[in-house]
Amino acid sequence: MQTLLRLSLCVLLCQACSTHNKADAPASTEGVASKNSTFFVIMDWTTGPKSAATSAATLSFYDANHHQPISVDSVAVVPWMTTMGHGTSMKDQKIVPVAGQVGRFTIDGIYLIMGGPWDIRVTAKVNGNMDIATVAVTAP
Amino acid sequence: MRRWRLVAPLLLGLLLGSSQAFACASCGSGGDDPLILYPNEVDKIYIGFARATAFKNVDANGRFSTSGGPTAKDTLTLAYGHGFSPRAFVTGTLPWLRNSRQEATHTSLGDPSLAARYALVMASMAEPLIPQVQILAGYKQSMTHSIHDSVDLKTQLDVFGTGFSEAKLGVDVWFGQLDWLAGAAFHLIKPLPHSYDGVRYEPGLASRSTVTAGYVFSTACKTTFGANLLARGSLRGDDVVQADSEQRNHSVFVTQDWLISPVESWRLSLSRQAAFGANKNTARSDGVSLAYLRSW
Repeated sequence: MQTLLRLSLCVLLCQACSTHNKADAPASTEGVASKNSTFFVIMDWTTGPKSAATSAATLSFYDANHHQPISVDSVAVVPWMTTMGHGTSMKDQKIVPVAGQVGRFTIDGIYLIMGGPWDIRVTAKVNGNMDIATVAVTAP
Repeated sequence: MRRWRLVAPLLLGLLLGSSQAFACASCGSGGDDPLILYPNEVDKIYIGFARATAFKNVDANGRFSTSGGPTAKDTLTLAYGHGFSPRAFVTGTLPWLRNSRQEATHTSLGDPSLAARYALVMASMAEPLIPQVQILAGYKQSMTHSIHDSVDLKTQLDVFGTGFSEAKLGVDVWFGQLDWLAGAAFHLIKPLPHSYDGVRYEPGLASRSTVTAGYVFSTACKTTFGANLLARGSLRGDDVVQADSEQRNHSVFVTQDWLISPVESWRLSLSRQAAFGANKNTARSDGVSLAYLRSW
């Protein structure tokens, strides 16, 4: 009976894991679906997030079911501090496609001017459709 | 009778003179109105220099976080007040501001403001336990750059104001006729909406409560201290309430007044913003100010 219970537990755990590992999306990072479910985006911070300093991240775009990486026509990233109603300096921000990887971009020079909760507004054009996703992050 | 003719003006002079040290108002001791006229004053000027440093943001969860803006903010405040009667006076205030960060500085005129006060109840030496009760109204015109229209957001050196004009109404109660002083003031502050980048922003209605206590050591020396409690409602953007955007700031101040002549005084103030309690979406800073006041 105990063996049966252990086996059931293992099956349940495997099923739980498999729902997060359906595609190439890194299981360690939570992603966000766009407003109209045009895409699913994962933002991995490679430096930061920091306040009053430069941070960097990668953006990975997937289809709405987050199964497969998708090709993206254009990307814009606007950090926004909703609680204060203002943005930040974007003059050093650079978005560059990662060579040889579909739907993946690096963003350097993200400058969050103060600590606190930020919304990273990711606007992307996929198959001619413009959509926006909001990634929440707290800068120390 | 003849003796009274000589003594009466002297007594009157003493009463009026002492009122300069005794009568006051809660906010003039460290709140937002730098200049308060006493009942016997017709014209008065205020020239004050203030420096705020040690900025640290307080986020929406009340936790300290990094502040990336100026490391020091200096303010030269010029204010003029005119009394129309012992009960009523108006003041105009114009700040000149300098933001510093490392070697870089930016300067600008700040937002000018007008305020008026009327004493519903006058203080009297004969009845010292009856407080002075003033009603007040004010308006501050947003003219300088704010974080919403900054062209240098990375350093925020060109951020000098909130970006919103404000109107206020309030009441101020002050027990100023004894050696121990006490007072309380309550203001309602209504920011006017303004559009930036096509979005109409409207900060929430705010209230500022001030409690003050103090002691008169002599007619020339007075110490007051107190606290300001600022509470502001949620920010609205295009009529949509921005979640978690309410503000709270609990500050403290201590002020030392020295009367150097019957018409001149110096005022030294120390203050700390976000000093105690649950603060939110605001900034901690330490301030020191020195002001010269002269009346005619």
